[in-house]
Amino acid sequence: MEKAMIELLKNGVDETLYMTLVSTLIAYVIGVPLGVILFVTDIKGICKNRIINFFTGAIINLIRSVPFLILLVALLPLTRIIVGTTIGADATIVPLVVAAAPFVARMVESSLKEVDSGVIEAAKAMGSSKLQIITKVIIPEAKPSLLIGATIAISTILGYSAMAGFVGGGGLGAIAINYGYYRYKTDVMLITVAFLVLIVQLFQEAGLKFVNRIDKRLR
Amino acid sequence: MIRFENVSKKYISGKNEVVAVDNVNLEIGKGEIFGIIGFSGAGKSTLVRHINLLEHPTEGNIYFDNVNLTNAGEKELRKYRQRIGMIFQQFNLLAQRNVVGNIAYPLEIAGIKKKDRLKRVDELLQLVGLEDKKKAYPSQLSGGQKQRVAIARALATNPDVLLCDEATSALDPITTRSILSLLKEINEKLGVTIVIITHEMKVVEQICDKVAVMSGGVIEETGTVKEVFLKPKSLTARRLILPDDNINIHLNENEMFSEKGGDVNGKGNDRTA
Ligand SMILES: Nc1ncnc2c1ncn2[C@@H]1O[C@H](COP(=O)(O)OP(=O)(O)OP(=O)(O)O)[C@@H](O)[C@H]1O
Ligand SMILES: [Mg+2]
Repeated sequence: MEKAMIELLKNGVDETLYMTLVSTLIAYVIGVPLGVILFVTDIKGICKNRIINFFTGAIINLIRSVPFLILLVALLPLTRIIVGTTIGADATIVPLVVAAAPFVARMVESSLKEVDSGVIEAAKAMGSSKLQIITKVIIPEAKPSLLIGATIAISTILGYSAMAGFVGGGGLGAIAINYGYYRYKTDVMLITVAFLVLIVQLFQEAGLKFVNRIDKRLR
Repeated sequence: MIRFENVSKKYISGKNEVVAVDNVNLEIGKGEIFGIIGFSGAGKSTLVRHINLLEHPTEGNIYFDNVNLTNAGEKELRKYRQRIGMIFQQFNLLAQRNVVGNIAYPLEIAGIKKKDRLKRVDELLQLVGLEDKKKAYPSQLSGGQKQRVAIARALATNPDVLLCDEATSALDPITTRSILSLLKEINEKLGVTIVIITHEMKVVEQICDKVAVMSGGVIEETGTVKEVFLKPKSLTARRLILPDDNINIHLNENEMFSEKGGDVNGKGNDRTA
């Protein structure tokens, strides 16, 4: 019994980490370009474009305004097509990515907005192309802020992944719900929640430590 | 070398139209140190940003070595901008790059090989006297040192022209003096034409050959520093240059307001400068 429980929790932690990290990664692959598009097509941006800015922003806002649990259910058919099943850790990644990518896009956009406009202007004056301004100035200058954003994104996605336990997702969330909620095993629920808190705490601390080390403005 | 022909720049915001530059004709000769003075909002920055086409004129033409650049394409402009360095009041250095990385940036985008870049950076560091700060990041430098890095960066691609927008306004008088003598040295040694925007008359006195006085988007007068300083013709020039008479009355008014903690500090500074 004890051994089985430990095994179960270990599995839960592994699954949660797997879902969270893979989803965060894919969400960033989609979210970073979207965030860059939002930033550069803005009225004050280097490739001002009202139409692209409006539609990108509108789609992002639309997805972001759907509550995650509803998104989770609504996406079940899509999940079945992509993963082949709607249960387990892999299946949870699909709605996690869909929910997180627009959120990541907004986080990226706001990090890029922190870059001093004078520096962008100086880069322009030196004859940089738009692509060079994005890849050599804006993103490197925003790097510390982007990484802080990433630690926030990981924590948020971790929270979402736990919620996915309600509809057959895997990980610690599923354990908390199956044992703690349906079978009234309060101790199991408390332990899983403690693990979730611990993981969030770890990512947050490690992320901030890392950012402090690489941010050249702080010395 | 640089010629403005009937250049105007209008900004439209809502129903308001701001004429930031109003029908300016101006010629800046090769090798000159050319000062542009005027009160805040006169249009100095806007005018100078036309030289490297960071702003495009609403009307008129801009010539560089008799080539009309007003309608140049993006690619042509980028090549051209590499021939014009620019430095700013707020330095605008890349905070996440060290001194070497900052100075190497324009060389990087010009496609110069790493080995040649580093060699050039060393030459520039020597020119601005910062050999011992190679690995430092901007946050570890003083204002004067940051401006030296900015100057080195602006000169990296061997430009013909250096634009300075209030480049010494954030520095104390002694640092200002040392930056100005560096600019003078660059002008004399390398033959770089320098355009300086400033509201500090001392800057003009110390290094400029010629000066243009600007107000309300209009150039009110141009001439050698001697001409303009000894016999200022326009009202703006007199208000900027002459410290006495009726100007003192304004000064006192401002001081009274300042004591009440009003928002006249900016104005007061402009007048006293
Ligand atoms: N992008 C813009 N949009 C609208 N108005 C602008 C813009 N840039 C400048 N202006 C206006 O043009 C006028 C001239 O501004 P400019 O910055 O060139 O003045 P300046 O002489 O450099 O002043 P300062 O000494 O304060 O730097 C101001 O009235 C300003 O409000
Ligand atoms: Mg200005």
